[in-house]
Amino acid sequence: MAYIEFEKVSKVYDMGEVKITALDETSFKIDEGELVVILGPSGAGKTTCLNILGGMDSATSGKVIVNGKEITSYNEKELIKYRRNDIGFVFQFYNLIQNLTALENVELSVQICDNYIEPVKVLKDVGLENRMNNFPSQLSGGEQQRVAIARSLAKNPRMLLCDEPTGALDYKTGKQILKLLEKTAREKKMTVVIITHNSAISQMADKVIKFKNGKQEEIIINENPKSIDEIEW
Amino acid sequence: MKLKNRIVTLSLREIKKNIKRFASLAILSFLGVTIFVGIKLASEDMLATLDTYYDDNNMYDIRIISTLGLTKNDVNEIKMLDDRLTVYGSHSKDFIIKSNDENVILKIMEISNENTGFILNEGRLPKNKDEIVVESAMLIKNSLKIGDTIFLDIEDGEEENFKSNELTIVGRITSPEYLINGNGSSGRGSSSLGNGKVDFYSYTVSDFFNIDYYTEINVNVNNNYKTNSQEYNELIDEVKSKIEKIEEERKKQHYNEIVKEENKKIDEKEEEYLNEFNNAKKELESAHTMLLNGYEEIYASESSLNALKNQLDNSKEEIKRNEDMLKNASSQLNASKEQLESAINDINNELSKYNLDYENALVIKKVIEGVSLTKEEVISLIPKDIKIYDNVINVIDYIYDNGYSEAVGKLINGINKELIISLIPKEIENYDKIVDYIKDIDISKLRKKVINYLLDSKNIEKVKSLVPKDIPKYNNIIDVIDKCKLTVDRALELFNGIDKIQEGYEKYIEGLKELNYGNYQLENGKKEYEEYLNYYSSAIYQLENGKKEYEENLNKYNKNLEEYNTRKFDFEENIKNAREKINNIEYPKWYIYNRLDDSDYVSFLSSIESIENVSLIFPVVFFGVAIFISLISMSRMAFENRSEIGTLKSLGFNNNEIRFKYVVYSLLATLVGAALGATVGYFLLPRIIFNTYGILFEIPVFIYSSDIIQVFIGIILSMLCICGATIFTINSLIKEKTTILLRPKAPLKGKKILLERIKGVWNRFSFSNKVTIRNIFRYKKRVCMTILGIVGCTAVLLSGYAIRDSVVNLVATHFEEIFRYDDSVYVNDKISKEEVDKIFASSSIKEKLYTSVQTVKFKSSELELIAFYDESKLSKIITLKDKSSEEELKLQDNKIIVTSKFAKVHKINVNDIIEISDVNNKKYSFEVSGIAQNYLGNFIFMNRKTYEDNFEKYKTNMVYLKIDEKEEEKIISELLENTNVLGVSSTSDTLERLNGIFGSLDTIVLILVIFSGALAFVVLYNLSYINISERQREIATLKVLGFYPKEIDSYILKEEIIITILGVILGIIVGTWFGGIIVETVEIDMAQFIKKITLASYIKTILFMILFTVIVNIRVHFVLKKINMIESLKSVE
Ligand SMILES: Nc1ncnc2c1ncn2[C@@H]1O[C@H](COP(=O)(O)OP(=O)(O)OP(=O)(O)O)[C@@H](O)[C@H]1O
Ligand SMILES: [Mg+2]
Repeated sequence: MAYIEFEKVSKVYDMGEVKITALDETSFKIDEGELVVILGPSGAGKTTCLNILGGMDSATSGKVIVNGKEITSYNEKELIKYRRNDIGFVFQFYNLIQNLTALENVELSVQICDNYIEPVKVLKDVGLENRMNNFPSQLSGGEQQRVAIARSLAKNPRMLLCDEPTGALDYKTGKQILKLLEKTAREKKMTVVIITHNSAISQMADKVIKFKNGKQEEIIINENPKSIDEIEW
Repeated sequence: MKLKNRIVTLSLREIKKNIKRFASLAILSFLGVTIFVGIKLASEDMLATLDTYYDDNNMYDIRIISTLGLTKNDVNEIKMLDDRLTVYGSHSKDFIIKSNDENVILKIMEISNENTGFILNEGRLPKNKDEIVVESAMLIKNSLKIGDTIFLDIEDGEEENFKSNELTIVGRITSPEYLINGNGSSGRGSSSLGNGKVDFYSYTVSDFFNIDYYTEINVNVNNNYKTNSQEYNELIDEVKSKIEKIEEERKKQHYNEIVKEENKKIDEKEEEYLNEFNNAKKELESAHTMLLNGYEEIYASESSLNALKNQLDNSKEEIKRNEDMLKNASSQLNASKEQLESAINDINNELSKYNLDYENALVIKKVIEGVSLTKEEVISLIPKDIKIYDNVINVIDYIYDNGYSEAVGKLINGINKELIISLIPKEIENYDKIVDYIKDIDISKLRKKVINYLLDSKNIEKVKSLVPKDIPKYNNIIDVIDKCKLTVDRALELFNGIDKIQEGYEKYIEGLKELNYGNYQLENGKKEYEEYLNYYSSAIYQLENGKKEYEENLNKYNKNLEEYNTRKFDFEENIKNAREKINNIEYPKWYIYNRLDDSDYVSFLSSIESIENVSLIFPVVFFGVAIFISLISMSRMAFENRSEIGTLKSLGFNNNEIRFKYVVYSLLATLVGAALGATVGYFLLPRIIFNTYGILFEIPVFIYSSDIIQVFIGIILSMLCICGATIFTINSLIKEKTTILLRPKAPLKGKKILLERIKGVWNRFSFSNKVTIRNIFRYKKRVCMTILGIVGCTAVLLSGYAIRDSVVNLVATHFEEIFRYDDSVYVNDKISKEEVDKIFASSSIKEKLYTSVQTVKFKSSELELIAFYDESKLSKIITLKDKSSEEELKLQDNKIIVTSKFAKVHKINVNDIIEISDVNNKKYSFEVSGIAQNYLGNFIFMNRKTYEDNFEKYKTNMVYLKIDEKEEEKIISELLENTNVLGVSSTSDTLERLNGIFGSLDTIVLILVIFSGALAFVVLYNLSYINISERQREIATLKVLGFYPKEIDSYILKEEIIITILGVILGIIVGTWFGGIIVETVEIDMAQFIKKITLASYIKTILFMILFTVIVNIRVHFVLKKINMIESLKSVE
């Protein structure tokens, strides 16, 4: 049994006159420790899919089973618990708390976890040992994204969900970030899901899920994923 | 085709997008305008209400009262002063009536067209002198109803002045002369009766009064000014001074008239009485002569009676003597009678031998003596045993009845000789001789001859010798002869006895007769004596009566004389007194009152003034807070509209066109709020405030002053504040370059704060506390504004309580700390100290302080001057301590101590010399030796010496008392019975009354609580709104990270709570200060409020703020819960 299973998951936004189907009976599976890349045009439903997986949103119908548990049936409290223990999120726009230093941002996220990694260590791992006491505004975008990743990783989650983590970054920095994610996936055997518009990146994935019109259009299994260093775009 | 202005559309969309922000602006505007308009208009409306009430009911402008009453001439003279004046005389009088076992003092006034009117609440107007309308409170307090009858207790000697003493209540009224609500404990002014205060007022028809002078003159000055407006007061002062100018002349005239009239009255009375006395004197004199006559008469009759008495005594003696004599005679007679009887007895004994009794013997003797016999004697001689007795009796009857008695007698006597001869037998020897002998015998002398013959023994012997010895029975005959001789002897003897008896008897009879006569005469004499005695007794009795009568008359006379004398003396004394009284008729004093002398009016005005003062201060806070909140709120909106403004700019709109959106937006918000606020402030708030005062004041109809200008000012002020703040905020944004605007504004940078440098402290903070503290410093501007807002609310709330506290404390403190008496008693100042001592001699009176109180003036303000009889006792009842050092102050000779508020208002310092003037405008200057702490009223204190050196002789007219609590009621009622006690005012009553007055401030406090609460809500709401909206992303991030709602709440709320706490703490500090200012503003001249806020008020304020915070935060909790992570994180900030 796969670690993550989407079974005919639909998400319909009822806008009154119109109904927008963001997800339309999507079904796919992801195994534990897999590095997955989700591709698809804008509005295809990627973010929606990831949000549901991350327990931030609920599906209209269908089942999402993570580690054998049906999270679609979770109530609000269980969802929060699920988020706080199992999920690490990385956003396009970092979403750091401006008022906290890098270290404090990490500390903020671990203060609610039981099984966390030392914030300082994590920050060292993401290469920010010298910038730990800087506020987000004092860091570059890439550094901020690294803080965001560190913040997620420090929680020691089961999976890391990244919604266009490099969307706001230049090529080089983006690459650094992807490298960090790859490293995390490979070294920590963490399930990492990355949404991107850059299909080149899909080469690094174990599995590529292509979305279109709210449906997995294609699921490609990469037998030999490339290291990010090998990929150029 | 005209295009729609899409900028306006934008404005409207903006409103729709965030209706709560719009609403909060509108509420700010609403609150500001309501408070600004409402409180100010409340004061104006109340004045207008009063003015209308007065105008509608023809309330007097000036009232004149004279100690001697007023006349028609006074009315006319005043009328002539100014043609704007309506002047009318009127009557009023206080009566004691008994109602439910309690004496109630009722003031009865006169209904007339000109007089101050009243409002008839129920029933009808009185039609005649037996009907009355009374104030509503009287019915309630005395459980009376319309139709009940009340009985007036008219004072002695006043009966003629009032035509009825039994009046039926026909209606229930309210008069503008009495503004204070009668249902409270306050009275209706002072009275000379009972406990010195009028309890209720009433009206009846003029006809009820039968007084030839007016008790008051009311003056209405025709004007269109509002009461108490400057113009009005000036006009009244002008008229008043005009009246004052003729006052002296009027008083003099009236006084002279009265003196003249009184003198005339006394003269008349004197004459009348003198006549009466003269008559009485004459009567007395005639009574006196009559008495003298009577006395003489009695004297005369007494002496004649005495003479009579002597005579009577004499005759009594004589009678006695006679009686004795008669008794002797009687006893003699009795003795002789006894002798006679025994003699008769003897004879009878003798006779019985011959079968004769004394009577027979008498007859026989008569026969023998040849005495003619009566028929009965003859009959008695006839032996009853003879056969012809009846015939013989008949013959005798016949003879005697036919007048033959003499003849018969002669016959009998003649026959006797023959008879005797015939009896002699012829054959006997010597017959012839015998016959001759017999014939010789003179019959008439026979008895004696025979007897004498027979008595002589020789004759017997002769007889014997005559007897022939030879006859056979010679011896017998001799024997017979002897026997005869013997018998004759015996008979003679008997007859002698009888004769003697006869003689004795005759003598006895005679004596008896004499005795009887004597007795008769004695009886007569006795009778006469009795009669005289009776006469004498009755005469004596009469004399006694006469004497008694005389005595009585004399007493009567003496009494009359005495009475006459005392009455005359009294009368003379009375006349003297009356004349003295005329001399003592005090020169009249006029009291010219205007409305400002009416304490009800003044307390209403001071209420208005307090409200007005509040109306100047609170709006400042409300508008101030409105400005702060608008600034925060708008800057947030501007921030949100950043890119929109950039876009508009890039589209080519100029600054004004863009600004227009915000002007429209804020104007709409302001106007919506202001319109509402103006409505509430115009219609509702004044009504509420007025109704609050309705507990205290009784004014039937509420009138709006229609001061629209105030409303406009309020709206404009609100616009200036809110629109101004909006435009100010927008301006700073609009000025920026388009490109900058289009780029998202970098979020406020996180910064280390100073506190972090102190590692020891900083590290101790928990993580979220660190964030909170940093956040607070990060959003400094907003936090400051919010704190200011909260400070404003707290301050307003606290100052509301401060007003209440200060007032409540004031009254209590005044009577607990300064004037510590239980009762103050007005006493007659004409009585001596000893008499005053006597009044307050009860042992239940623990302390007493004698004072002389009078009202004096300093500049235009009045204050009480109190001189103490014995200043050493002062400290037991009144505390005189320096207002700042609290050291005890001592009265010094010829120096005064003034009270703090008075000193403050007039800027008087120790050692200043101030000039005061008394009732007669006489001026006195004193050095101020101290300023004493005091809270209620304004006073000047001095000792007796100072008083006597500067004023007149000290006279106690007011006594402060401390009374044993249990006895207080009893003592007071005893005091009130004393005629020298003019009135008693108890501290507890005063406390109750004053607390009643000030208690109406509670509604003001409530309104402030409501409004500052509303303000607090808006402030806190805005704070939290902005806080949340600014940090939505942060919150969403936390949610994504898996923070529980509770953790998020505490993360966010901590800040708000800290800000609120800071705000409240600062607010308390500012509020304490602000409250002080408010209290000072609200303060009235007669009182010094205590600027001390109680702990309870602090606690209440804090609790209210906590409550508001909690309510807002509960809302925040739900807002936080609703924040959508996905949405919030989707877009770029
Ligand atoms: N809150 C929402 N309300 C209505 N429709 C929504 C909402 N969120 C997403 N959608 C719709 O759901 C569809 C899927 O959106 P989603 O964000 O998952 O797309 P995406 O694949 O992530 O696109 P992109 O690559 O642009 O991020 C879109 O058509 C979008 O319009
Ligand atoms: Mg997306």
